[in-house]
Amino acid sequence: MRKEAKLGTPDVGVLGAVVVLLIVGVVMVFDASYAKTGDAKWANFDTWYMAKRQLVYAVVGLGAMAWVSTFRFSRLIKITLSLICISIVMLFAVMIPGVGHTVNGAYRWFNLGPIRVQPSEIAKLATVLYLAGLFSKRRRLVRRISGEWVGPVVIVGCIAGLIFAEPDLGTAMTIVGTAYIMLMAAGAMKRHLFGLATGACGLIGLAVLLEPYRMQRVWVWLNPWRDPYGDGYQIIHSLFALGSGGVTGVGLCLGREKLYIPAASTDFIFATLAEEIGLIGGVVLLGAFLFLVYRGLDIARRSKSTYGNLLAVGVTSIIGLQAVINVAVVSASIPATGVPLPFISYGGSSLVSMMLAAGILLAVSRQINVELEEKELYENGTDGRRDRRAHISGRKRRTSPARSRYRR
Amino acid sequence: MASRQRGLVKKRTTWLFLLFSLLYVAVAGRLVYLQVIKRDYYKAKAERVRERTYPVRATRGTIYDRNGRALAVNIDTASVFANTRDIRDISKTSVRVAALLDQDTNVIEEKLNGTRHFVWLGRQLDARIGDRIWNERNKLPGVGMQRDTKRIYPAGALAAQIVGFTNYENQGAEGLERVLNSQLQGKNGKFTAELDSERRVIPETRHVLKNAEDGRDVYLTIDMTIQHITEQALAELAEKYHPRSACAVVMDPRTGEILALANYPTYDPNNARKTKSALWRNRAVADLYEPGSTLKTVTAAAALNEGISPYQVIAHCTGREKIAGGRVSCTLHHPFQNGHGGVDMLKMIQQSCNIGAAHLALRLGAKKLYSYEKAFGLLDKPHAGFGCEAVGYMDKPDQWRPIRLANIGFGQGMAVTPLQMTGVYATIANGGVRVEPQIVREIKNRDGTTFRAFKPGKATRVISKDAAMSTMRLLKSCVDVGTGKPGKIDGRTVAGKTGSAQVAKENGRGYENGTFIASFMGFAPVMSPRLVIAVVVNRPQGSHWGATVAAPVFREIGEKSLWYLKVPSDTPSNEEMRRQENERKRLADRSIKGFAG
Repeated sequence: MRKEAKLGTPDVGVLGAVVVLLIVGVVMVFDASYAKTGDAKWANFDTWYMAKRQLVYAVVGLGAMAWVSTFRFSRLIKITLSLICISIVMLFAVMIPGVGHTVNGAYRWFNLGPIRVQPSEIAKLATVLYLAGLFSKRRRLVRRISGEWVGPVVIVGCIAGLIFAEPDLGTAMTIVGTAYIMLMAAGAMKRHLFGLATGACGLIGLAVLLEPYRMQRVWVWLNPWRDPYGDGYQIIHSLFALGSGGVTGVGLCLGREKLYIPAASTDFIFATLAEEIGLIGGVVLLGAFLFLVYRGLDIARRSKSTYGNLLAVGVTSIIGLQAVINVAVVSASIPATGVPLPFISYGGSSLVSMMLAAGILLAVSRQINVELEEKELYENGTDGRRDRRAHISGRKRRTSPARSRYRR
Repeated sequence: MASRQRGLVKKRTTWLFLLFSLLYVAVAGRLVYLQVIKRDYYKAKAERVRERTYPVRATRGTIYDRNGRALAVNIDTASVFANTRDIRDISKTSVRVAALLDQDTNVIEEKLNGTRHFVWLGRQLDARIGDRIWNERNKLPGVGMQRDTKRIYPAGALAAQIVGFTNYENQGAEGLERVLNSQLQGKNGKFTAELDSERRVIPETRHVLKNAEDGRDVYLTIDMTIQHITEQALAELAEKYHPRSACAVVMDPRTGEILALANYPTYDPNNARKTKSALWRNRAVADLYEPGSTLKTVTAAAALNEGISPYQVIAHCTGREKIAGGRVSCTLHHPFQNGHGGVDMLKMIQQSCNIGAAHLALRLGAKKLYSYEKAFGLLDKPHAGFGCEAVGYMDKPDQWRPIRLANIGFGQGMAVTPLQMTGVYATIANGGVRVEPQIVREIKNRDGTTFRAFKPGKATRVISKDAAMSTMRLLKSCVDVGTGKPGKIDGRTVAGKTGSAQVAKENGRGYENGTFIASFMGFAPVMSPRLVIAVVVNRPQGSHWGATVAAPVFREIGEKSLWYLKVPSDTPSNEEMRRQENERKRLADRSIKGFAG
C-alpha cells in the first residue's frame, strides 16, 4: 500500500452549519419539551429533561463527527461490508418481539442499557458507503441494466424493505431516495432514471391502493379533518402551529400548539419552531439546510475521486432529503411519515447518526485531492471479487461509439 | 476519460443541487402559503380549539336569621367525573377511584361500564377528595375533577321548610332558596383561557372578561332561638301524641314578622335528596285545613264590631240542635253534660259552644260574615314571601245554605292555612289592624349596603279598637277560666282559643270518623301583645282536644320565647301568688297570735 496522503482541512461551511443547527436544536428541544416534561412523571417533572439529554447527545455526536472526519477512504471502504451485514442483522433482530423495543406498534429500537439504538440509522449510512464503493469501483455498472444489478438491488431492497416493514416509511423513503440520487450522481442514464422514477411512482400508487390503511393516510393527508382526534390530530395541530406563527412568529417559548402535538420535540419540532419564530425562522432554517446541501455537493463536485464524490453526494442527500421530507410532513405537503429533522429533533440515535454523516462529509472534504486508485477499491472491496476480472477489461466497452452518445 | 468522467460528475452535482433547491423552494413555498395566505384561517381555527370561555362563579348569598346567624352558607367542594372513553383499565380505575371516594367498587365499575360516556362519580364531595384525585390524575386517565361549592345548612333541620335547599347546580330547589334564587345566586362572570392538550386551563392565559357579581345576602325575620324553641316543642308533642303532622307559627303582631315557623315532621336540608319530598312541604303555609273552633274568634269579632253585646244571650244550647235543615252539636264537658244552657258570646268563646257560634253566624247573615272573613285575610293570598302560600277556600256567600252559614260560624265547611289563622289572631292582638305577615326582613348587597328592606306591610283596620279589645277579653277569659286553661303561661296574661276540628274526607263528603285537627291559637301578653302563637296538630293520637294536645305546646313556646325576649311579666306568677298567700297567712297568724298574746 502506498503511503497515505496527509488529510486536508475540513470544510468550514459544513462544520459551521452543523454547529449552528445543533445549537438551534438544543434550544428548540428545550422549548418544545419543557411544558410536557415539567408535568410528566417519567421525566421526574424536570423541565430540562430532554434538553439535558439532547445536549449530551450533541457533545457525543460532535466527538463522533470529529472522529469519523479523520477516517481515510481506505478505512471507510474496509468497514463497509461489516456495516452492511451488521445493519441487516440488526434490522432482522429488531423485528423479533422481545428483542426489539416497540413504541406505538413500531419495532424500531434496541434497548442497550440506558441508550436506545435505531438500526435503521446505521443502515442509512451503511447503504451510502456500500453504494459509493460499488458505483465507483464498477462504473459501467450503472450504464446498463444487467444481471450484475441483482446483488446491489437485493441488498438495498432488503434494507429498505426491512425498514419499511418496521414500519418506518420515512426512513425507507430516505434510503431509496438517497440510492436514487447516488445512482444519478454516479452517471446512470437518463432513461433508466426516468424509468425508475415512474416505476417507483407506480409501485407506491399500487401500494397505496391495495392497503386500506395507507389509503386512509392519504385521505387524512388531503383532509385532516376527516379524523380530527385520530390520524388527523397531529397534522391539524401542526397546521394550527404554522398558521398561528405567521410571518414573525409568536415569540420563543410562547407557542401553544406544542402542548397538543404529541411528537412536538421529535418529528414535529419544526412546527414549534415555525410557530414561535414564524415563517422567517422556518425559511432561515430551510436555508441553513440548503446551504449544507450546497456545501456537501460542492465537496462532491470538487472531490477528485469518484468514491469521494459519491460518498459526499450520499451523505448530503441523506441530510438534505430528511430535512425536506420532515418539513414537508409538518406542513402537510406529503402524507405523514415519521422522519426526524436532522440535528434538531430530539433523539440520540438520529442525532448521532446525522453527526456521523456530517463526519463522513468532513472526511471527504479533507480528502478532496486524493485520487483513489482502483486497486485500492479492489483490495478492500465489498463483494470479495477482487481480481477475478481484469481491471482493464471495461475500457473497451466504455469507449464504444454506441455508448458515447449518452455520455454527452 | 478522467476528465470526461469529471465533467459528468460536475454536471450531475449541479443538477442535484438544482433538484434539491427545487424541493426546498417548493416546501418553502408551502410554508409561505400556510403562514401568510392561510394564516388567519388556521389561527382562528386554532384559537377556537384551544380557547374556552368559562364562567367566573358567583358566590351564592348567605341566608341569615334576623340576628345575623347563618342558616345557609357555602363551602368549597369538588365533583368527580369520568370520560369513560379515555379510561384504559376500567376495573383498575374503579378500584382506585372507589378507594379515593370511599364508595363501593362495584357501583363505580357499573357506572364506568354504562352506556354513557360522561358520568358523575361523585358530586359536591369534600374538597380534600378532589385534591387527592387531582394529585393522581396521571394515574387515572379519563377521571376528572371540578371544583365547585356546595350549600350547607349549619343549623341542620332548623327552619328547613322555610330555607329549602339547592340542587347540584347550586340553584334553589325548594323554599326561599328557590323563591329568592335570583337574589341569592348573583351573576356569573366570564373568563377565557387557553387549554393544554389535556383540556386543562393554562393559568397564565386566564383573561377575565367580566367579573362575577356575588349573590345578595338574605336576612329572614326568623329568630333562630325562637325557631329552635318552637321546633323543640313540636318534637316533644310528637313524642307524646304521634300526630301525622304538626306546625306552629310565631309572629310579632305589631309588624307581621314571622319569628318562627316550624313543621313536623321535618328533614335535614343537607341531605335533602335522601328524604321524602313530602317532608319538604311547608305545611304551615301551603296546606289548607278546616280551622274549627279557632274560627269562632272571627265570628265573635264580627259580631262585636257589629255592636252585639258580649253578654247578650244568643242561643240556648242543649248539646244538639237542628238548625235550618242540618244538625249542629256541641261537645260537652263537665259541668255542662246537658248542654251549655243560655249562651252569650263570652260563654261561647270560653266553652267553645258550636250552637252559640251557629246562631251568631245566622244572626250576622252570610254576606256580613263573609265580608269579615275576607277582611281578616282568609280569602286572599298572603304575600308573606314564602312563594308557596295557599289561599283559604270558601264558597261564595250567595251559595250558602243556612246550615253552611251555621257551620262556617264555628269553622267547619271552609279551609284556611295555619298562617292565615295566625294572621287573624295577630289582627286582634294588634287592636283590629291587620298587618301582612312577612318572612324576609332585608336583602343586603355583598358590600353590606341594603338592597331592599321589607318594611311592615300595609296596615288595614278590620274591626274597631273597641271590638278588638272586647274580643281580646273574651279570648283571655277562655284561657283564664274556659277550655284554654292548659295554654295559660305562668306569670303572663294570655288570650287564646282552642280548636278541635273534624277532618273532611278526601272526596269532600262528610268528615272522617275519629280524626281531628287539634289547634290552639293565642297571644301574650294581652295588654301589649308581643307574640302571636298558632299551633295546629294534624290527627294526634291518644287525644284530639286542642286543649290537651295543642295548648301545652303553645304554653311551652310562649313561656320560653317571652323569657328569651325579656318581656316583663305582667301578672303575678303562681309562685308569687303562693308567696303572697303565705305571707298573708303568716301576717294573719301573727296578728291573731299577737292579738291573742
